[in-house]
Amino acid sequence: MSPAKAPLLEAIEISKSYGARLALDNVSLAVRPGEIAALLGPNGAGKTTTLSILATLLKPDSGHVLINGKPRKSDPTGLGRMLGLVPQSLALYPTLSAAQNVWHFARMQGLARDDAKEYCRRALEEVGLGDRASDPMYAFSGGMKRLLNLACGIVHRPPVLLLDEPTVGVDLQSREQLLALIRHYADAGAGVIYSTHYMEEAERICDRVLLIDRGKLIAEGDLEKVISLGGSRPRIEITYRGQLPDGRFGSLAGVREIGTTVGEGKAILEMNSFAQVAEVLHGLRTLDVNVVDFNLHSPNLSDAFIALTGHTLRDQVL
Amino acid sequence: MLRAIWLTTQNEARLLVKDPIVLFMLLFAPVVIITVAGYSLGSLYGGSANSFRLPLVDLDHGKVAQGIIEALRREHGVALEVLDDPDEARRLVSRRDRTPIAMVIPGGTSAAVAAGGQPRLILFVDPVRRVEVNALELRIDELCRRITEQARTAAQSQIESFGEAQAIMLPGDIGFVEKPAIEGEAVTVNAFDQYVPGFGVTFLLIGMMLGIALTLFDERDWGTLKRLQVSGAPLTGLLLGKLFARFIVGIAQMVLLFAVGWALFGISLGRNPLALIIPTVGISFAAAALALVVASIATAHDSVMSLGVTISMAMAAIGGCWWPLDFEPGWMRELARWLPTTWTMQAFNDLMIRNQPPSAALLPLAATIGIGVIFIVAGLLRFLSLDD
Repeated sequence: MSPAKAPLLEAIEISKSYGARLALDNVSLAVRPGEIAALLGPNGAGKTTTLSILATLLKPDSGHVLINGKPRKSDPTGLGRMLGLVPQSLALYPTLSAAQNVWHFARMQGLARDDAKEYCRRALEEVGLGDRASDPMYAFSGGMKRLLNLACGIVHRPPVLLLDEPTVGVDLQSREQLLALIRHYADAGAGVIYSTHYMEEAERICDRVLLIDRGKLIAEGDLEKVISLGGSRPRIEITYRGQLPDGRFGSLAGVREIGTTVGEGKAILEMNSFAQVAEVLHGLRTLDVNVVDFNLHSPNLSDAFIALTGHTLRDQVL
Repeated sequence: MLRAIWLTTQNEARLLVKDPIVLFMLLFAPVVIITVAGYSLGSLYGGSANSFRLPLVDLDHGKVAQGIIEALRREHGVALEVLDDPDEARRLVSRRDRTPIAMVIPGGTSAAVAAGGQPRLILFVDPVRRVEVNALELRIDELCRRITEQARTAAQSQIESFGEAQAIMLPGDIGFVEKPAIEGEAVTVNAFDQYVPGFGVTFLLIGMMLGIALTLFDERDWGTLKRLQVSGAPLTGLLLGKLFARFIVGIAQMVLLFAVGWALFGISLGRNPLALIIPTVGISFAAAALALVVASIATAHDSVMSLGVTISMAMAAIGGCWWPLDFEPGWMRELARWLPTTWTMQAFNDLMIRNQPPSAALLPLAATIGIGVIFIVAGLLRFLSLDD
């Protein structure tokens, strides 16, 4: 990925309201070739609205979208075919076979009959459904349906791929396959916007993170940068039995107490590095703290999200 | 736009082939309903759809009895079976076969008529089948009235010619000639001539609701419509493609029904069977457009069918698909003028029964297409506003 590359898809100060509810508030974002940008936020944060506007299916109340530097209306068909949308719902025809589903979307995306045949075969092979091409979609498992949904989005090799929660309800094996395929697709040069509320997925395959909450883009940058917003130091979470000493953990050098739930016998301590673990545990013993269990925790996107919003990624925005 | 229409049409054909239940609804269900309705209600139109077995015992053996038997043999839909034993005739009625009524002509009937008396025929009836009994009694009553009248006329002329001493001659084979007010060759109206186009149009409307309104709602629900729009395919093109596919299916459905009606039930196809395509095209277009309106105003999957079927049934009933328009009160006939079903049935009746030339279907076609255009514009505008 090169930051110097021009954005393939860009949203500039877009806002959208549904009645009195402000769904998106002045959001700007962009995706460049070879980049996977995670649009990360809890349910109801505005991810699907953002993707719908980026796909030019929904008009923003203000702001605009540029595809390859141009507004969609300058070439509705040509620029539209640069996009591949994989919606959260299974936008497929249940009674048609996998091949017929992919074929219809390929043809609608402008592929000629002969090209479409080859592109369909390749898309189905890539998602691992080559040997199930003749089977009707309704006969597929949930994971296979998701893979077919993806195949229909990538069949015409769009330079920009918009993925809306593509792994919801997918089994572990299909999820791995799907994530690998998306990474491979970006490595081949496509720009991908990956909407999800799964922090682990964003951390695993995305180059850049866009944290969104209540319609606002609250942080943007590469993984390390966004994680650092929530505090960059590792933590040790201890479970103890008995009483804590007077002055708690103040006498431990290089350790800061983040939070303690006395009733549950749990405490969270921030350290300078994981190299301090043995030293901290020894210090706790010196303080007569009876540690029965401990967990080490690296800073992650979830911490950043909590630090920035005060609630977790799993929370539903009301 | 044209590419979107064509590709959507092709996809609709694939979807249709993959759904055998819808195919059954479109093609076989109308045949079943037409068959049932035609045979059940055939007597409404005086056709030969119903054939009653009428046991008759002649204990008179006179000229009046002979006149009654000959007249009954000429009645449409009556299969006369002459027996010797009145008890056997009564048993046939009680056995609940196709014999709601049996007739006994008592001995001395002819002599009584000649003497100016009032002899009575005996009718054994099945009280459970009151409707059929009433229909047959009406016909027997009319037959007796004609024979009596003929006898009186003959007797009167003989009295005038020869004086009262001469024997009164019973009437011969006097009947009437029915002349239908139509051009060309006379046709006997068969119940199926009404029910094939009538129920054909009804199922065409329902088929459009299934094929367009319901699947459009599904596509909105699944997100396929939105997804296709990303490709640059205009929504109008996607909708028109869907409508065009079902429009063709609607025409094929009606053609098949007419072919089945002609082959199985002997319906009249008029002086130029090809002309039947004119109202068929009109109603297929209007029905497809109506389904678009229903899809655009329905708010839930279940409401598509309830709304669609209610509108279809009401349009079919008021438009004269199930019974002659003249059965309806005046205000309803006025309302019917604004329905495509009414114009379509008028055209089918003109072409099939009244033997009118193809030009007779042009005004109904224009009216049907006009109504369809209003539907299609309303449906498209509504869909586009939903899309915004």
